[in-house]
Amino acid sequence: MSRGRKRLKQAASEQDFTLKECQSIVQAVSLRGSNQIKIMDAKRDNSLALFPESLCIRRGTFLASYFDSSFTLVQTVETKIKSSLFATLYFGLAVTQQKSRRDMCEIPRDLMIEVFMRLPAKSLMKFKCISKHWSSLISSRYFCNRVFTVARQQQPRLYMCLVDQFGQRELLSLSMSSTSPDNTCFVVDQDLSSPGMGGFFLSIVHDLMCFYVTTNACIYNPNTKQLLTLPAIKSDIIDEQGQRKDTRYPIGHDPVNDQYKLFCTIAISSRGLANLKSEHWVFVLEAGGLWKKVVPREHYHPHAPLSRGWFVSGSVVHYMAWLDMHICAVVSFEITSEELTIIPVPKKAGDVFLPAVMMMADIIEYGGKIAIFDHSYLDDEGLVDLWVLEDAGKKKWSKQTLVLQPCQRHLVHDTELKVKGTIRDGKVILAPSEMGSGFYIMYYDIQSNSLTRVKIEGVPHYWFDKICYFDLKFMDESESFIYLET
Amino acid sequence: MSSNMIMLKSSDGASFEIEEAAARKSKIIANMIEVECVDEDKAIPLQNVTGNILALVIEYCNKHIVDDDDDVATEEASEEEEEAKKKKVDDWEAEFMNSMSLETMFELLLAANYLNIKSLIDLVCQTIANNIKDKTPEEVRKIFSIENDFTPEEEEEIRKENAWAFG
Repeated sequence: MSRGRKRLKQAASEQDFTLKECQSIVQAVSLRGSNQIKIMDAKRDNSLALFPESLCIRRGTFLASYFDSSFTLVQTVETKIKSSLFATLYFGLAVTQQKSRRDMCEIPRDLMIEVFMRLPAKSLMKFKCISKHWSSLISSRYFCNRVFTVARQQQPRLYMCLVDQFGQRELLSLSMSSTSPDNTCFVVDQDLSSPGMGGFFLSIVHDLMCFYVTTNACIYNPNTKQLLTLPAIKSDIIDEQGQRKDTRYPIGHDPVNDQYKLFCTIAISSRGLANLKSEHWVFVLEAGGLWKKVVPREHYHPHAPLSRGWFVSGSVVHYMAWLDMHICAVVSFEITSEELTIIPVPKKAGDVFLPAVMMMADIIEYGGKIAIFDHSYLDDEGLVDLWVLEDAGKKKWSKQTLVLQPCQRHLVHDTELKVKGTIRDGKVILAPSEMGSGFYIMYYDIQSNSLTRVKIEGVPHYWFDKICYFDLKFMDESESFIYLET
Repeated sequence: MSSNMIMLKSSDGASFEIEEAAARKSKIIANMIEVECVDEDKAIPLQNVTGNILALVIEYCNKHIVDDDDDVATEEASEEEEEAKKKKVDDWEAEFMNSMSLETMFELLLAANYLNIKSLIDLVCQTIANNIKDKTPEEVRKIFSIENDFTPEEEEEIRKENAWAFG
């Protein structure tokens, strides 16, 4: 306390006082004793302050206070300042001794984060072993989120999973070729590709990817190369001999609690989607996380997610599923509340709906809305049916038929295609189911009904000329470091 | 444009004269000017900045105020000219940062933060990052005088988890 007083005297003797950083205006609301006052700041928070006895302070006096950087207030009370006493307040013992500043450890946390944000992921992972303080800063969610918001402006990166029939896997990382002026070529970055990584049904949220290997879902951060294999789900429904089992694991983010969640759908059915059963599980990505079963609510209908696509808008994961052989629906899972909504696609007179398995369709995002892109007749007739969910609340759909420009029909002739989501400008990504002799994807522009062929170069030669599963997704380029707690 | 001069006084008592336009690079000083806290006859005391560091800050501000003026004057400048100008600034900044020790950089960073000069904070942080990114953890600890508070086992564990980064 005595040191505080000494400083107050020092401050009072300072003649050439002007407002500095960390100062703001507060108002004295009541006097307490000879050198204590209660003050109120801009946020109407009260606190106690010390002032030198030599200063004449009355109720209502405006003062400049330290330890608050809200400079805006200065302007609003400016006129009052001039007519009232202008003094410096020191908050007693809160005043710290000024040290000679030579070490980085004395640099405030915010500035250290500014430096960290400019370091590549590799350096950051290396520097985690420097000290506990550095490690906790680098692993903190605050830091990860900062980096992500800064980095998301850049070009998206394409990730591609390949799996062959013997279980050999590889995760390829691709970027737009710099020599391709019209952006029609992706090139594999050999340094960033990971043999033995990746799996089935790739999904990506922010900078985390999720895929599926044998019976386990895996979460992978390509920037830190941290891999987390989640425990297998002990499902309550068991497939019997000859039954079909479909499992999907999209990952989503709950912005309310800043949590990453894996959402799993398991569906079991006999031939022709008979005896269809399905259940849903959620895994919150946190220390000690467990699979938790989602309790279905009223109007729940078992469904089979036969297509591979899903898209995440905000905190909702949407996917297409079949309620039976002839009714397909859009299922939406709200990540925060863990609620499922099922909206069937209506069938009107004259609509030709191929039965499940036969129909080549998947969910896409169309102008911010959910849509089903049915390209069953693209190959033979150059036609695509597009169902758009105009109003999810009223379950109102619209349908239009797209006709591919005749001069481009050869691009899709005799090629089985799969929908792989959409790119930023709304074009639909189509990829051939089998890419033995050359890897490529196509963008379908719904506005102009035209296709753009996009080459994929640099895929290792051993992936050519064999049957393999592949999946691809875009990830906004970010050097981010979400740390996965286990 | 009038070239009002402003006086700044460092913590060790050195006085510096600076054009108002250059001083306005600092949000804090700009704010003080706005609210008329700056008395023309008196120097603004900067208690957290020493003379040698303040000299660097002023050098930076002077350089960049000239550039900002150019921007206004040549709004119609071609892309190439823009690029050439940007390169000139980049070269100057590289040269400017190149001449100082890490220790000076830290002090400059604190001063830039105190005076709230965003572009200088960015420049110094980027330079520090470039400086340390390829260093080993041991070297970085030494530079920043950081005590390793991990047990050898804990450190080994972290190194194993991130083995790829040490390659």
